[in-house]
Amino acid sequence: MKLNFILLLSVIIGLVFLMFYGDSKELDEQIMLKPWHMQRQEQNDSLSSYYLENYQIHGKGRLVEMLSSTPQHKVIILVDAWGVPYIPQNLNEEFAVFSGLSAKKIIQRRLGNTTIHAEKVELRKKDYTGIFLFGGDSLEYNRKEYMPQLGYDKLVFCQNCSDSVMLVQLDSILNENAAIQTIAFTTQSSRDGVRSNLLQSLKLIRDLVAKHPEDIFIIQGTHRPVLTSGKIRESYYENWVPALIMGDAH
Amino acid sequence: MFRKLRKNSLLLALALNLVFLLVYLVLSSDSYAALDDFFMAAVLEGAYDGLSDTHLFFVNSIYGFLLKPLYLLFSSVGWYYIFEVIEVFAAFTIFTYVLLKRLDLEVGLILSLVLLCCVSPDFYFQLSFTQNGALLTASGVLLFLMNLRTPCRLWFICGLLLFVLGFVMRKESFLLGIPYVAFFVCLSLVKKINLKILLITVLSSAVVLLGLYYFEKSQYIEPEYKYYASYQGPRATFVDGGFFDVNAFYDELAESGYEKTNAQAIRTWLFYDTEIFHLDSLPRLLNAVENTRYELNWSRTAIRIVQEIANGFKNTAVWCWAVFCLLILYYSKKKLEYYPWISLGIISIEILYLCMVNRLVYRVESGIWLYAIAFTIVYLPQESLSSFCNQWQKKVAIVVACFLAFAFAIMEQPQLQRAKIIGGGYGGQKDWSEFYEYAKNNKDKAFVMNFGQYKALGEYLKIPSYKALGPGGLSNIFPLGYWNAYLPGMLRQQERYNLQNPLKDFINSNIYMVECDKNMFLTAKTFYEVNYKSQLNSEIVKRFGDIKVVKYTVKENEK
Repeated sequence: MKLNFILLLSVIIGLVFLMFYGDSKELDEQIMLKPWHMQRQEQNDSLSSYYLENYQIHGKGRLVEMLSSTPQHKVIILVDAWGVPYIPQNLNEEFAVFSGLSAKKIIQRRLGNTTIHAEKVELRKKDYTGIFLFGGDSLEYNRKEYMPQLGYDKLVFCQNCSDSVMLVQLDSILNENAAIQTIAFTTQSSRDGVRSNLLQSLKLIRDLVAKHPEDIFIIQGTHRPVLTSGKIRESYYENWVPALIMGDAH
Repeated sequence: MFRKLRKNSLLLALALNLVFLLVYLVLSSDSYAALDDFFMAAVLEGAYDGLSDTHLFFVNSIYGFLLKPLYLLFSSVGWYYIFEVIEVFAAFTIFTYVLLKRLDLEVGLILSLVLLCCVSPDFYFQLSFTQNGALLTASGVLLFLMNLRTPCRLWFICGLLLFVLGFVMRKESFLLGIPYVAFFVCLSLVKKINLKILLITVLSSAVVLLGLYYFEKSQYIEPEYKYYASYQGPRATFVDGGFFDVNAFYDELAESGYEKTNAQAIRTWLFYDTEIFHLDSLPRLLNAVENTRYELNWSRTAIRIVQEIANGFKNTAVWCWAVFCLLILYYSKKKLEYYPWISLGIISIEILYLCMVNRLVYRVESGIWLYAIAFTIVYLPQESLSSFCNQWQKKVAIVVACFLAFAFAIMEQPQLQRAKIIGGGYGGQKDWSEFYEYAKNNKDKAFVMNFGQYKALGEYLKIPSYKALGPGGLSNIFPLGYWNAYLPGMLRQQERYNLQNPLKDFINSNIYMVECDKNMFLTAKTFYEVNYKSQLNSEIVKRFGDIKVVKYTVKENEK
């Protein structure tokens, strides 16, 4: 008869119980920055077990410091907008571009998600001679100012030059065999997060590496795709990037 | 006299509510809960350039027109505040009146007591236009419903007045009541209750509401006011919006070459730069917001809604909803009484909506519950309820419980302390009163301050709100980012101080920065140095406790 009443009473009792014992602390944490009900479950930034088992994880410090030998040239290539996807197959495909070459495959912690951050962290150097190449305007991000501060005495800028053009230049620098210790290059063809562009750039880089087996190459992502749609951006880990070391004596 | 009261529900309701009003007047801090009300009142008072302005923006301008004559007559009285108190009083009087009218005297009295003890403290102590919007709308609809059952012209007229006033006070709060209105209209149509009156009610309300809507629109056609109004949307997106990934927003802008400092500035309310944050320059930022907008996680949202409803029970108002709904279901003679479930459903949907925009704010939430509570009144079964409290022990127990709830509700109010201490590095009561005196005596100087300081100043100035700041009360104090930025009255005043662009011109000789020991992470100094490429010197001119008056000048060698 009073089923309706009993139903409401039990709902209210249940709610009061929830009020006392429900975990609203977790719900309200960072409500203005990362509202709990707007985060995907898997969006925590710890790598999946697949990545942990299959790749070397580099948590802290610059990748250059991992090198065991000091060759004549070391080439650091920052591949723009190369991130670690939640789906491992995609990354495997990207690493597979380099198959046939001996490479150390690494997943590296990257705390900032801008190119400027990646350059300032990874390209800082102590040796004497260095050249930095970029296929764009010298004013972008104010590189003209901060690159010399990072230790590069020679800067090569080329307005609107694609990665292929820049890699040809890099090739000739290596062929000249000049006394340059560090050669750094930031790609840009893949910055908009389009995967085919990324694969194309990686292939070009692979061809260059194959031509210079005597040199050390460090190839690393700058950050996950940023200048792209939210959907693509969120298919990548927020703070991890892939990296490769090639030509180093293991 | 008592006999008269017994017979006249309205007089009884008034008497009962006067008691609660008195308690409020004795215990409260005599002010609003939100600063928005204070600064809207300041617009009306002509606190900026001395001219009373009716463009309240959040509240319909018609309200400004209604109050303006009073301000012209007595400019030192805080009419805006007084009318807000009257509105709360009026709405609760209507609720109790309907309770007393519908139910037997004793039951009616006791349930009125439950309602007033549990629900009214939130609205009296947390006085704000947002809550009043819901309160007035609900009382209007309640009178409409009464009129639908037993036609009475006075109910209809008062109902229309209150309903419309709810819309005037805040249309967003008004809209929260629309699901109930839709439900009642459908119900009347299905049951074919008094269709003629229904038609008259719906049509007359629609006509008045549309009129007010277009009236408000017409108030913002002038270019200066148009710019002011157009600025509010983007501003609110940046500073209030918690629905996008802020870090990704910064990254995207920085990566595309936008100055990161500026993105952080606008996010932390430091945006009163008429060049860098001109309305035309904001679409780029808005695109970045759109692009980094979070999507709802539906399963988590469901959990959140249930938890939010459960957390509602921390508030005594929700106890009243529970008690009334249980009474309805227990005493109802009907086969199926569904109102409690309908209200629970509407509450869930409205919380869902707020989750989607991540704006689950206390004052909005109290409005959601208020609607649900208000309409229980017409569902309380009149006849069967008369046996509800037939023993005196029961009556005593309920009355005691009511007073305990009332005491609890009042203790929970942060507004209880009359002299609320702002403190915490943002300057105490005494510091701000000294500063304000200093500013008043130095009208040749203008003072600018960022959001944190401006709010702290507002917290000090708003008590007591029954006194107006008066014309020119804020004539030489300007924010570096608050919702009143670009108000034409403020712009005119800025012109007088040669402060056309606050975040750029604060280095002018007559402009002084007001800072506190505690500061937001981004200062106007940093902003200036990044954007205007000059280093600044600072010199503390005056100190009032935590508050510093600082003079910034461009470093000599850089001139």
